[in-house]
Amino acid sequence: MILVALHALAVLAEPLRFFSQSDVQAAPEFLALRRITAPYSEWLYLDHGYFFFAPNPGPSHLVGARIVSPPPIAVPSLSVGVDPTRVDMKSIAPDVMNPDAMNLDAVNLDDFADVFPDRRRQWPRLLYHRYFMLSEFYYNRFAPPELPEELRDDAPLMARWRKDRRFYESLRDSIASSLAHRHGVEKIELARIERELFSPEQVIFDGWGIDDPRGLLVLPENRPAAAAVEIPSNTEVVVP
Amino acid sequence: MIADRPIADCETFLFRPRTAHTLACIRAATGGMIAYIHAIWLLDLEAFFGPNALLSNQVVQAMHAEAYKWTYLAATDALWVARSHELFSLVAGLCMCIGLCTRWSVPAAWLGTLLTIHRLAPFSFGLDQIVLMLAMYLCLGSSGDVWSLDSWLLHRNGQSAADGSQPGGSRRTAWFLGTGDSVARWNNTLSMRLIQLHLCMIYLFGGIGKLRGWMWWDGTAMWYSAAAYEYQSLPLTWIVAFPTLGSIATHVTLFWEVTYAALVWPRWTRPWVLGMAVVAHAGIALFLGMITFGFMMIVANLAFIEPVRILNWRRGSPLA
Repeated sequence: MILVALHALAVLAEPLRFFSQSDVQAAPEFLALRRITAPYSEWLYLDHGYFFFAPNPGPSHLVGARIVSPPPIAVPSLSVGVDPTRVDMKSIAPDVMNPDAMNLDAVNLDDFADVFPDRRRQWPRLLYHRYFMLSEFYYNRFAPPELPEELRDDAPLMARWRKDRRFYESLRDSIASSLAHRHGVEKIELARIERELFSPEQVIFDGWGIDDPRGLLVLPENRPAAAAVEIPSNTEVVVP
Repeated sequence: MIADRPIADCETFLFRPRTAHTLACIRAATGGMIAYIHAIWLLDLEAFFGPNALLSNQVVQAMHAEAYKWTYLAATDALWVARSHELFSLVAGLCMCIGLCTRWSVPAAWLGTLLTIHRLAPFSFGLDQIVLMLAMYLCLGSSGDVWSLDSWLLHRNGQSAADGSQPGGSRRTAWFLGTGDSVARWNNTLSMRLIQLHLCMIYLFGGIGKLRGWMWWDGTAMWYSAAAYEYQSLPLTWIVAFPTLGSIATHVTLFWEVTYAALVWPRWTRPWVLGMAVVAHAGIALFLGMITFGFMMIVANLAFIEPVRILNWRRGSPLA
Protein backbone atom coordinates (compact mmCIF):
# COMPACT_ATOMS: atom_id res chain seq x y z
CA MET A 1 0.00 0.00 0.00
CA ILE A 2 2.93 2.30 0.73
CA LEU A 3 4.34 1.52 -2.69
CA VAL A 4 1.02 2.44 -4.28
CA ALA A 5 1.02 5.77 -2.41
CA LEU A 6 4.59 6.52 -3.51
CA HIS A 7 3.70 5.66 -7.09
CA ALA A 8 0.69 8.00 -6.93
CA LEU A 9 2.97 10.78 -5.69
CA ALA A 10 5.30 10.19 -8.63
CA VAL A 11 2.38 10.43 -11.04
CA LEU A 12 1.17 13.63 -9.36
CA ALA A 13 4.59 15.27 -9.23
CA GLU A 14 4.78 16.56 -12.79
CA PRO A 15 1.25 18.02 -13.09
CA LEU A 16 1.64 19.66 -9.67
CA ARG A 17 4.94 21.25 -10.69
CA PHE A 18 3.53 22.22 -14.07
CA PHE A 19 0.40 23.86 -12.68
CA SER A 20 2.17 25.58 -9.80
CA GLN A 21 4.52 27.42 -12.14
CA SER A 22 4.06 31.15 -12.64
CA ASP A 23 6.23 33.88 -14.14
CA VAL A 24 7.68 34.40 -10.69
CA GLN A 25 8.39 30.88 -9.46
CA ALA A 26 7.27 27.28 -9.22
CA ALA A 27 5.98 26.14 -5.85
CA PRO A 28 9.11 24.92 -4.01
CA GLU A 29 7.46 21.87 -2.41
CA PHE A 30 6.21 20.63 -5.78
CA LEU A 31 9.59 21.32 -7.35
CA ALA A 32 11.21 19.25 -4.61
CA LEU A 33 8.71 16.43 -5.09
CA ARG A 34 9.32 16.48 -8.83
CA ARG A 35 13.09 16.38 -8.29
CA ILE A 36 12.88 13.46 -5.88
CA THR A 37 10.61 11.39 -8.09
CA ALA A 38 12.36 12.29 -11.35
CA PRO A 39 14.33 9.06 -11.90
CA TYR A 40 11.19 6.99 -11.44
CA SER A 41 8.63 9.16 -13.19
CA GLU A 42 10.84 10.17 -16.09
CA TRP A 43 12.08 6.74 -17.02
CA LEU A 44 8.60 5.23 -16.70
CA TYR A 45 7.25 8.06 -18.88
CA LEU A 46 4.93 9.35 -16.16
CA ASP A 47 6.13 12.96 -16.31
CA HIS A 48 3.19 14.60 -18.06
CA GLY A 49 1.16 17.69 -17.29
CA TYR A 50 -1.97 16.34 -19.07
CA PHE A 51 -2.59 19.69 -20.67
CA PHE A 52 -4.84 18.53 -23.51
CA PHE A 53 -6.32 21.46 -25.51
CA ALA A 54 -5.55 23.69 -22.55
CA PRO A 55 -5.62 26.37 -21.44
CA ASN A 56 -7.08 27.32 -24.84
CA PRO A 57 -7.05 25.67 -28.25
CA GLY A 58 -4.31 27.48 -30.16
CA PRO A 59 -2.91 27.86 -33.66
CA SER A 60 -1.20 24.93 -35.37
CA HIS A 61 2.40 24.97 -36.51
CA LEU A 62 3.97 23.52 -39.61
CA VAL A 63 7.48 23.26 -40.91
CA GLY A 64 8.27 24.24 -44.47
CA ALA A 65 11.47 23.14 -46.22
CA ARG A 66 13.09 25.20 -48.96
CA ILE A 67 15.88 23.84 -51.10
CA VAL A 68 18.84 26.19 -50.93
CA SER A 69 21.53 24.25 -52.77
CA PRO A 70 20.24 22.61 -55.92
CA PRO A 71 20.10 20.65 -58.00
CA PRO A 72 17.86 17.82 -56.95
CA ILE A 73 18.02 14.87 -59.31
CA ALA A 74 15.48 12.52 -57.86
CA VAL A 75 13.14 13.58 -55.14
CA PRO A 76 12.15 10.74 -52.86
CA SER A 77 9.07 11.16 -50.77
CA LEU A 78 9.25 12.88 -47.43
CA SER A 79 7.05 10.11 -46.30
CA VAL A 80 4.75 7.42 -47.50
CA GLY A 81 1.37 8.02 -49.06
CA VAL A 82 0.42 9.98 -52.14
CA ASP A 83 3.31 10.66 -54.49
CA PRO A 84 4.96 13.83 -53.22
CA THR A 85 7.74 14.08 -55.80
CA ARG A 86 7.75 17.70 -56.66
CA VAL A 87 10.26 20.45 -56.42
CA ASP A 88 8.73 23.73 -57.35
CA MET A 89 11.42 26.01 -58.70
CA LYS A 90 9.83 28.78 -56.70
CA SER A 91 11.19 26.99 -53.67
CA ILE A 92 14.71 28.08 -54.57
CA ALA A 93 13.80 31.60 -55.63
CA PRO A 94 15.78 34.22 -53.67
CA ASP A 95 12.76 36.01 -52.26
CA VAL A 96 11.46 32.79 -50.77
CA MET A 97 14.75 31.90 -49.16
CA ASN A 98 14.62 34.82 -46.83
CA PRO A 99 11.66 34.62 -44.46
CA ASP A 100 11.74 38.33 -43.77
CA ALA A 101 11.41 39.06 -47.47
CA MET A 102 8.22 37.06 -47.68
CA ASN A 103 4.87 38.67 -47.92
CA LEU A 104 3.01 37.38 -44.90
CA ASP A 105 -0.30 37.73 -46.69
CA ALA A 106 0.64 35.30 -49.39
CA VAL A 107 2.15 32.20 -47.84
CA ASN A 108 1.62 29.36 -50.24
CA LEU A 109 2.55 25.93 -49.01
CA ASP A 110 3.24 24.87 -52.59
CA ASP A 111 6.19 27.27 -52.53
CA PHE A 112 8.00 24.83 -50.27
CA ALA A 113 9.72 21.68 -51.44
CA ASP A 114 8.30 19.95 -48.39
CA VAL A 115 5.90 20.76 -45.64
CA PHE A 116 4.99 18.76 -42.60
CA PRO A 117 2.51 17.82 -41.38
CA ASP A 118 0.80 17.22 -44.70
CA ARG A 119 -2.12 14.84 -44.81
CA ARG A 120 -1.65 14.28 -48.54
CA ARG A 121 1.84 12.95 -47.97
CA GLN A 122 1.78 11.34 -44.57
CA TRP A 123 -0.64 8.47 -44.24
CA PRO A 124 -2.01 6.70 -42.19
CA ARG A 125 -3.26 9.32 -39.83
CA LEU A 126 -1.00 8.23 -37.00
CA LEU A 127 2.05 8.84 -39.17
CA TYR A 128 0.69 12.28 -40.04
CA HIS A 129 0.20 12.99 -36.37
CA ARG A 130 3.79 12.00 -35.60
CA TYR A 131 4.99 14.66 -38.05
CA PHE A 132 2.49 17.12 -36.61
CA MET A 133 3.92 16.60 -33.15
CA LEU A 134 7.45 17.17 -34.46
CA SER A 135 6.44 20.47 -36.06
CA GLU A 136 4.82 21.59 -32.79
CA PHE A 137 7.96 20.53 -30.91
CA TYR A 138 10.12 22.49 -33.34
CA TYR A 139 7.97 25.56 -32.80
CA ASN A 140 8.02 25.19 -29.01
CA ARG A 141 11.79 24.87 -28.84
CA PHE A 142 12.45 28.04 -30.81
CA ALA A 143 14.97 30.35 -29.17
CA PRO A 144 15.71 33.67 -30.89
CA PRO A 145 19.21 34.33 -32.22
CA GLU A 146 19.67 37.16 -29.74
CA LEU A 147 18.03 38.47 -26.60
CA PRO A 148 16.66 41.99 -26.34
CA GLU A 149 19.22 44.53 -25.07
CA GLU A 150 17.50 45.03 -21.71
CA LEU A 151 17.65 41.32 -20.83
CA ARG A 152 21.35 40.77 -21.53
CA ASP A 153 22.45 41.73 -18.02
CA ASP A 154 20.44 38.89 -16.54
CA ALA A 155 23.15 36.21 -16.26
CA PRO A 156 20.93 33.17 -15.50
CA LEU A 157 18.60 34.15 -18.33
CA MET A 158 21.51 34.54 -20.71
CA ALA A 159 22.87 31.12 -19.72
CA ARG A 160 19.48 29.54 -20.31
CA TRP A 161 19.07 31.34 -23.60
CA ARG A 162 22.48 30.13 -24.82
CA LYS A 163 21.55 26.56 -23.98
CA ASP A 164 18.11 26.84 -25.58
CA ARG A 165 19.53 28.47 -28.67
CA ARG A 166 22.18 25.78 -29.05
CA PHE A 167 19.52 23.11 -28.78
CA TYR A 168 17.25 24.84 -31.27
CA GLU A 169 20.08 25.15 -33.78
CA SER A 170 21.01 21.49 -33.43
CA LEU A 171 17.35 20.51 -33.81
CA ARG A 172 16.97 22.70 -36.89
CA ASP A 173 20.17 21.34 -38.44
CA SER A 174 19.16 17.76 -37.75
CA ILE A 175 15.77 18.10 -39.43
CA ALA A 176 17.22 20.07 -42.34
CA SER A 177 20.00 17.55 -42.88
CA SER A 178 17.53 14.65 -42.87
CA LEU A 179 15.30 16.36 -45.40
CA ALA A 180 18.29 17.32 -47.57
CA HIS A 181 19.31 13.67 -47.66
CA ARG A 182 15.80 12.65 -48.68
CA HIS A 183 15.69 15.22 -51.44
CA GLY A 184 19.18 14.49 -52.64
CA VAL A 185 20.27 18.09 -52.20
CA GLU A 186 23.08 19.76 -50.30
CA LYS A 187 21.20 22.19 -48.14
CA ILE A 188 17.68 22.83 -47.00
CA GLU A 189 16.35 25.75 -45.00
CA LEU A 190 13.45 25.41 -42.64
CA ALA A 191 10.65 27.86 -42.03
CA ARG A 192 8.32 27.83 -39.09
CA ILE A 193 4.79 28.36 -40.32
CA GLU A 194 1.80 29.19 -38.17
CA ARG A 195 -1.82 28.61 -39.09
CA GLU A 196 -4.09 30.96 -37.19
CA LEU A 197 -7.52 29.92 -36.01
CA PHE A 198 -10.32 31.81 -37.69
CA SER A 199 -13.12 33.32 -35.68
CA PRO A 200 -16.74 32.33 -36.34
CA GLU A 201 -17.22 35.80 -37.91
CA GLN A 202 -14.44 35.21 -40.42
CA VAL A 203 -15.98 31.91 -41.42
CA ILE A 204 -19.62 33.05 -41.52
CA PHE A 205 -19.34 36.60 -42.88
CA ASP A 206 -16.09 36.46 -44.83
CA GLY A 207 -16.59 32.91 -46.03
CA TRP A 208 -13.07 31.76 -45.17
CA GLY A 209 -12.43 28.04 -44.97
CA ILE A 210 -10.31 26.83 -42.10
CA ASP A 211 -7.59 25.86 -44.62
CA ASP A 212 -7.58 29.32 -46.18
CA PRO A 213 -3.96 30.33 -46.91
CA ARG A 214 -4.69 33.75 -45.45
CA GLY A 215 -4.39 32.09 -42.08
CA LEU A 216 -0.79 31.09 -42.75
CA LEU A 217 2.23 33.11 -41.80
CA VAL A 218 5.93 32.40 -41.75
CA LEU A 219 7.36 33.16 -38.34
CA PRO A 220 10.54 35.23 -38.41
CA GLU A 221 13.72 33.53 -37.28
CA ASN A 222 15.77 36.62 -36.54
CA ARG A 223 13.73 38.62 -34.10
CA PRO A 224 13.79 38.70 -30.32
CA ALA A 225 11.59 36.21 -28.53
CA ALA A 226 8.78 38.57 -27.64
CA ALA A 227 8.33 39.74 -31.21
CA ALA A 228 8.41 36.20 -32.56
CA VAL A 229 5.26 35.18 -30.76
CA GLU A 230 3.33 38.34 -31.37
CA ILE A 231 0.39 38.05 -33.71
CA PRO A 232 1.12 40.32 -36.66
CA SER A 233 -1.31 43.17 -37.10
CA ASN A 234 -2.44 41.92 -40.50
CA THR A 235 -3.73 38.70 -38.97
CA GLU A 236 -7.05 39.14 -37.34
CA VAL A 237 -7.94 36.68 -34.65
CA VAL A 238 -11.27 38.08 -33.63
CA VAL A 239 -12.79 36.48 -30.63
CA PRO A 240 -16.49 36.96 -30.14
CA MET B 1 -9.51 -0.07 15.96
CA ILE B 2 -10.71 3.22 14.52
CA ALA B 3 -7.36 3.76 12.82
CA ASP B 4 -7.46 0.23 11.42
CA ARG B 5 -10.69 0.79 9.53
CA PRO B 6 -9.42 3.16 6.82
CA ILE B 7 -6.41 0.92 6.26
CA ALA B 8 -8.65 -2.11 5.95
CA ASP B 9 -10.89 -0.20 3.54
CA CYS B 10 -7.88 0.76 1.46
CA GLU B 11 -6.70 -2.82 1.40
CA THR B 12 -10.12 -3.98 0.29
CA PHE B 13 -10.22 -1.25 -2.34
CA LEU B 14 -6.81 -2.11 -3.76
CA PHE B 15 -6.52 -5.83 -3.26
CA ARG B 16 -9.92 -7.59 -2.99
CA PRO B 17 -9.54 -10.31 -5.62
CA ARG B 18 -11.20 -9.99 -9.00
CA THR B 19 -11.17 -12.05 -12.16
CA ALA B 20 -9.30 -10.84 -15.23
CA HIS B 21 -12.17 -10.28 -17.68
CA THR B 22 -11.93 -6.46 -17.69
CA LEU B 23 -8.16 -6.56 -17.95
CA ALA B 24 -8.36 -9.06 -20.80
CA CYS B 25 -10.43 -6.60 -22.85
CA ILE B 26 -7.97 -3.79 -22.10
CA ARG B 27 -5.04 -6.08 -22.87
CA ALA B 28 -6.38 -7.08 -26.28
CA ALA B 29 -6.99 -3.47 -27.34
CA THR B 30 -3.72 -2.14 -25.92
CA GLY B 31 -1.69 -4.94 -27.50
CA GLY B 32 -3.30 -4.29 -30.86
CA MET B 33 -2.55 -0.59 -30.56
CA ILE B 34 1.06 -1.22 -29.57
CA ALA B 35 1.48 -3.40 -32.66
CA TYR B 36 -0.02 -0.65 -34.81
CA ILE B 37 2.21 2.03 -33.25
CA HIS B 38 5.33 0.03 -34.07
CA ALA B 39 4.06 -0.75 -37.56
CA ILE B 40 3.85 3.01 -38.15
CA TRP B 41 7.43 3.54 -36.92
CA LEU B 42 8.54 0.77 -39.27
CA LEU B 43 6.65 2.31 -42.17
CA ASP B 44 8.96 5.34 -42.22
CA LEU B 45 11.88 3.89 -40.31
CA GLU B 46 14.65 5.98 -41.88
CA ALA B 47 12.89 9.19 -40.92
CA PHE B 48 12.81 8.16 -37.28
CA PHE B 49 16.04 6.19 -36.82
CA GLY B 50 19.48 5.86 -38.30
CA PRO B 51 22.10 8.27 -39.59
CA ASN B 52 19.60 10.36 -41.54
CA ALA B 53 16.84 10.53 -38.96
CA LEU B 54 14.89 13.74 -38.52
CA LEU B 55 16.12 13.79 -34.94
CA SER B 56 19.73 12.71 -34.71
CA ASN B 57 21.01 10.83 -31.70
CA GLN B 58 22.94 13.96 -30.70
CA VAL B 59 19.71 15.95 -30.51
CA VAL B 60 18.00 13.26 -28.46
CA GLN B 61 20.98 13.01 -26.12
CA ALA B 62 21.05 16.80 -25.69
CA MET B 63 17.31 16.81 -25.03
CA HIS B 64 17.62 14.10 -22.38
CA ALA B 65 20.95 15.30 -20.95
CA GLU B 66 19.39 16.22 -17.64
CA ALA B 67 16.59 13.69 -17.67
CA TYR B 68 16.35 10.04 -16.73
CA LYS B 69 15.28 8.87 -20.16
CA TRP B 70 17.88 6.40 -21.20
CA THR B 71 17.31 4.16 -24.19
CA TYR B 72 19.83 2.13 -26.13
CA LEU B 73 18.11 3.28 -29.33
CA ALA B 74 19.70 6.72 -28.84
CA ALA B 75 23.16 5.20 -28.61
CA THR B 76 23.38 3.70 -32.06
CA ASP B 77 22.70 4.79 -35.63
CA ALA B 78 22.46 1.23 -36.90
CA LEU B 79 19.16 0.88 -38.72
CA TRP B 80 19.08 -2.87 -38.26
CA VAL B 81 19.02 -2.38 -34.50
CA ALA B 82 16.03 -0.06 -34.73
CA ARG B 83 14.29 -2.33 -37.24
CA SER B 84 14.83 -5.38 -35.03
CA HIS B 85 13.59 -3.50 -31.99
CA GLU B 86 10.45 -2.29 -33.74
CA LEU B 87 9.72 -5.73 -35.19
CA PHE B 88 10.22 -7.34 -31.80
CA SER B 89 7.88 -4.80 -30.17
CA LEU B 90 5.31 -5.25 -32.93
CA VAL B 91 5.30 -9.02 -32.44
CA ALA B 92 5.15 -8.57 -28.66
CA GLY B 93 2.14 -6.28 -29.15
CA LEU B 94 0.41 -8.86 -31.34
CA CYS B 95 1.09 -11.60 -28.79
CA MET B 96 -0.28 -9.34 -26.08
CA CYS B 97 -3.38 -8.72 -28.20
CA ILE B 98 -4.19 -12.38 -28.72
CA GLY B 99 -2.97 -13.35 -25.27
CA LEU B 100 -0.04 -15.57 -26.25
CA CYS B 101 2.66 -15.97 -23.57
CA THR B 102 0.88 -13.08 -21.90
CA ARG B 103 3.03 -12.98 -18.76
CA TRP B 104 6.04 -12.28 -21.03
CA SER B 105 4.54 -10.50 -24.00
CA VAL B 106 2.87 -7.72 -21.95
CA PRO B 107 6.11 -6.59 -20.23
CA ALA B 108 8.01 -7.02 -23.51
CA ALA B 109 5.51 -4.86 -25.42
CA TRP B 110 5.57 -2.24 -22.67
CA LEU B 111 9.37 -2.12 -22.50
CA GLY B 112 9.77 -2.06 -26.28
CA THR B 113 7.34 0.83 -26.57
CA LEU B 114 8.92 2.69 -23.66
CA LEU B 115 12.41 2.48 -25.13
CA THR B 116 11.12 3.64 -28.49
CA ILE B 117 9.32 6.61 -27.01
CA HIS B 118 12.45 7.73 -25.14
CA ARG B 119 14.21 7.83 -28.51
CA LEU B 120 11.30 9.52 -30.31
CA ALA B 121 9.78 11.69 -27.57
CA PRO B 122 9.18 14.76 -29.78
CA PHE B 123 6.92 12.66 -32.01
CA SER B 124 4.82 11.47 -29.09
CA PHE B 125 1.41 12.64 -27.88
CA GLY B 126 -1.45 11.56 -25.63
CA LEU B 127 -1.78 8.19 -27.34
CA ASP B 128 1.68 7.12 -26.17
CA GLN B 129 0.99 8.30 -22.64
CA ILE B 130 -2.21 6.26 -22.40
CA VAL B 131 -0.88 3.14 -24.11
CA LEU B 132 2.23 3.04 -21.92
CA MET B 133 0.19 3.70 -18.81
CA LEU B 134 -2.19 0.82 -19.59
CA ALA B 135 0.60 -1.58 -20.59
CA MET B 136 2.55 -0.78 -17.42
CA TYR B 137 -0.39 -1.57 -15.16
CA LEU B 138 -1.31 -4.64 -17.19
CA CYS B 139 2.13 -6.01 -16.31
CA LEU B 140 0.87 -6.27 -12.73
CA GLY B 141 -2.30 -8.21 -13.51
CA SER B 142 -2.95 -11.70 -14.84
CA SER B 143 -4.83 -10.62 -17.94
CA GLY B 144 -3.87 -13.79 -19.79
CA ASP B 145 -6.01 -15.90 -17.46
CA VAL B 146 -9.09 -15.48 -19.62
CA TRP B 147 -9.96 -14.77 -23.23
CA SER B 148 -6.46 -15.49 -24.36
CA LEU B 149 -4.63 -18.00 -26.51
CA ASP B 150 -2.74 -18.99 -23.36
CA SER B 151 -5.96 -19.98 -21.67
CA TRP B 152 -7.15 -21.89 -24.72
CA LEU B 153 -3.83 -23.73 -25.04
CA LEU B 154 -3.71 -24.54 -21.34
CA HIS B 155 -7.17 -25.99 -21.32
CA ARG B 156 -6.31 -28.08 -24.34
CA ASN B 157 -3.05 -29.18 -22.72
CA GLY B 158 -4.85 -29.82 -19.46
CA GLN B 159 -7.10 -32.26 -21.22
CA SER B 160 -4.07 -33.90 -22.80
CA ALA B 161 -2.29 -34.14 -19.46
CA ALA B 162 -5.35 -35.72 -17.94
CA ASP B 163 -5.16 -38.30 -20.69
CA GLY B 164 -1.54 -38.94 -19.68
CA SER B 165 -0.32 -38.06 -23.17
CA GLN B 166 1.93 -35.15 -22.07
CA PRO B 167 3.56 -36.07 -18.77
CA GLY B 168 5.49 -33.19 -17.22
CA GLY B 169 4.38 -30.80 -19.91
CA SER B 170 2.08 -28.74 -17.73
CA ARG B 171 4.88 -27.23 -15.63
CA ARG B 172 6.81 -26.09 -18.69
CA THR B 173 3.75 -24.65 -20.35
CA ALA B 174 2.75 -22.90 -17.13
CA TRP B 175 6.11 -21.11 -17.13
CA PHE B 176 5.27 -19.59 -20.50
CA LEU B 177 1.51 -19.43 -20.47
CA GLY B 178 0.56 -18.95 -16.82
CA THR B 179 -2.03 -21.06 -15.07
CA GLY B 180 -4.98 -20.08 -17.19
CA ASP B 181 -7.36 -20.38 -14.27
CA SER B 182 -10.29 -18.00 -14.35
CA VAL B 183 -10.00 -17.26 -10.67
CA ALA B 184 -10.17 -13.98 -8.76
CA ARG B 185 -6.74 -12.57 -7.93
CA TRP B 186 -5.57 -9.57 -5.90
CA ASN B 187 -3.14 -8.45 -8.60
CA ASN B 188 -6.01 -8.04 -11.09
CA THR B 189 -7.72 -5.64 -8.71
CA LEU B 190 -4.50 -3.72 -8.09
CA SER B 191 -3.96 -3.37 -11.82
CA MET B 192 -7.53 -2.13 -12.37
CA ARG B 193 -7.38 0.28 -9.43
CA LEU B 194 -4.12 1.82 -10.62
CA ILE B 195 -5.60 2.39 -14.08
CA GLN B 196 -8.68 3.96 -12.48
CA LEU B 197 -6.68 6.25 -10.20
CA HIS B 198 -4.33 7.29 -12.97
CA LEU B 199 -7.27 8.08 -15.24
CA CYS B 200 -8.80 10.23 -12.52
CA MET B 201 -5.57 12.22 -12.27
CA ILE B 202 -5.43 12.67 -16.02
CA TYR B 203 -8.97 14.00 -16.21
CA LEU B 204 -8.58 16.14 -13.11
CA PHE B 205 -5.48 17.93 -14.36
CA GLY B 206 -6.85 18.05 -17.90
CA GLY B 207 -9.92 19.79 -16.47
CA ILE B 208 -7.92 22.16 -14.24
CA GLY B 209 -5.81 23.13 -17.25
CA LYS B 210 -8.95 24.02 -19.18
CA LEU B 211 -10.32 26.03 -16.25
CA ARG B 212 -7.41 28.42 -16.80
CA GLY B 213 -8.44 29.15 -20.38
CA TRP B 214 -11.05 31.78 -21.20
CA MET B 215 -12.26 29.93 -24.30
CA TRP B 216 -13.50 27.13 -22.06
CA TRP B 217 -15.48 29.71 -20.09
CA ASP B 218 -16.92 31.84 -22.89
CA GLY B 219 -17.98 28.72 -24.78
CA THR B 220 -15.80 29.16 -27.88
CA ALA B 221 -13.31 26.34 -27.19
CA MET B 222 -15.36 23.85 -29.19
CA TRP B 223 -15.35 26.15 -32.19
CA TYR B 224 -11.62 26.86 -31.98
CA SER B 225 -10.91 23.13 -31.65
CA ALA B 226 -13.04 22.53 -34.75
CA ALA B 227 -11.29 25.38 -36.58
CA ALA B 228 -7.83 23.81 -36.28
CA TYR B 229 -7.28 22.51 -39.79
CA GLU B 230 -4.33 20.32 -38.85
CA TYR B 231 -6.51 18.36 -36.42
CA GLN B 232 -9.64 18.08 -38.51
CA SER B 233 -10.67 14.73 -39.92
CA LEU B 234 -14.44 14.89 -40.44
CA PRO B 235 -15.78 18.43 -40.92
CA LEU B 236 -16.97 20.00 -37.70
CA THR B 237 -17.13 23.60 -38.87
CA TRP B 238 -20.91 23.33 -39.28
CA ILE B 239 -20.98 23.94 -35.54
CA VAL B 240 -20.36 27.61 -36.33
CA ALA B 241 -24.02 27.85 -37.33
CA PHE B 242 -25.08 26.67 -33.88
CA PRO B 243 -23.16 28.82 -31.37
CA THR B 244 -25.35 27.78 -28.45
CA LEU B 245 -24.74 24.12 -29.20
CA GLY B 246 -20.99 24.78 -29.40
CA SER B 247 -21.06 26.62 -26.11
CA ILE B 248 -23.06 23.91 -24.35
CA ALA B 249 -20.71 21.23 -25.70
CA THR B 250 -17.74 23.25 -24.43
CA HIS B 251 -19.16 23.60 -20.94
CA VAL B 252 -20.38 20.01 -20.69
CA THR B 253 -16.88 18.84 -21.66
CA LEU B 254 -15.28 21.16 -19.12
CA PHE B 255 -17.53 20.20 -16.20
CA TRP B 256 -17.39 16.50 -17.07
CA GLU B 257 -13.61 16.53 -17.08
CA VAL B 258 -13.30 18.52 -13.86
CA THR B 259 -15.78 16.33 -11.98
CA TYR B 260 -14.80 12.96 -13.48
CA ALA B 261 -12.51 12.03 -10.56
CA ALA B 262 -15.37 12.48 -8.10
CA LEU B 263 -18.42 11.32 -10.04
CA VAL B 264 -17.01 8.18 -11.60
CA TRP B 265 -17.05 6.34 -8.24
CA PRO B 266 -20.70 6.51 -7.05
CA ARG B 267 -22.73 3.75 -8.64
CA TRP B 268 -25.54 6.00 -9.86
CA THR B 269 -23.35 8.61 -11.55
CA ARG B 270 -20.81 6.22 -13.04
CA PRO B 271 -22.82 5.23 -16.14
CA TRP B 272 -23.33 8.91 -17.01
CA VAL B 273 -19.68 9.77 -16.55
CA LEU B 274 -18.54 6.78 -18.61
CA GLY B 275 -21.20 7.46 -21.24
CA MET B 276 -19.93 11.02 -21.53
CA ALA B 277 -16.37 9.66 -21.85
CA VAL B 278 -17.46 7.57 -24.82
CA VAL B 279 -19.17 10.54 -26.47
CA ALA B 280 -16.26 12.94 -25.84
CA HIS B 281 -13.55 10.57 -26.99
CA ALA B 282 -15.55 9.32 -29.96
CA GLY B 283 -15.90 12.99 -30.94
CA ILE B 284 -12.13 13.48 -30.67
CA ALA B 285 -11.57 10.30 -32.66
CA LEU B 286 -13.99 11.17 -35.45
CA PHE B 287 -13.66 14.93 -35.79
CA LEU B 288 -10.24 15.88 -34.42
CA GLY B 289 -8.23 13.27 -36.28
CA MET B 290 -7.04 11.34 -33.25
CA ILE B 291 -8.78 8.02 -33.83
CA THR B 292 -6.09 6.08 -32.02
CA PHE B 293 -6.04 8.37 -28.98
CA GLY B 294 -9.84 8.57 -28.73
CA PHE B 295 -10.13 4.80 -29.00
CA MET B 296 -7.54 4.15 -26.31
CA MET B 297 -9.16 6.60 -23.91
CA ILE B 298 -12.44 4.72 -24.30
CA VAL B 299 -10.55 1.47 -23.69
CA ALA B 300 -8.95 2.94 -20.56
CA ASN B 301 -12.41 3.83 -19.24
CA LEU B 302 -13.31 0.13 -19.41
CA ALA B 303 -11.31 -0.18 -16.17
CA PHE B 304 -14.37 1.15 -14.36
CA ILE B 305 -16.52 -1.76 -15.48
CA GLU B 306 -16.53 -4.72 -13.11
CA PRO B 307 -15.34 -8.05 -14.57
CA VAL B 308 -18.59 -9.73 -13.56
CA ARG B 309 -20.57 -7.20 -15.62
CA ILE B 310 -18.42 -7.78 -18.67
CA LEU B 311 -18.82 -11.52 -18.21
CA ASN B 312 -22.59 -11.13 -17.98
CA TRP B 313 -22.67 -9.00 -21.13
CA ARG B 314 -20.72 -11.64 -22.98
CA ARG B 315 -22.98 -14.41 -21.72
CA GLY B 316 -25.96 -12.43 -22.93
CA SER B 317 -24.44 -11.70 -26.33
CA PRO B 318 -24.96 -13.80 -29.44
CA LEU B 319 -21.20 -14.58 -29.44
CA ALA B 320 -21.42 -16.40 -26.13
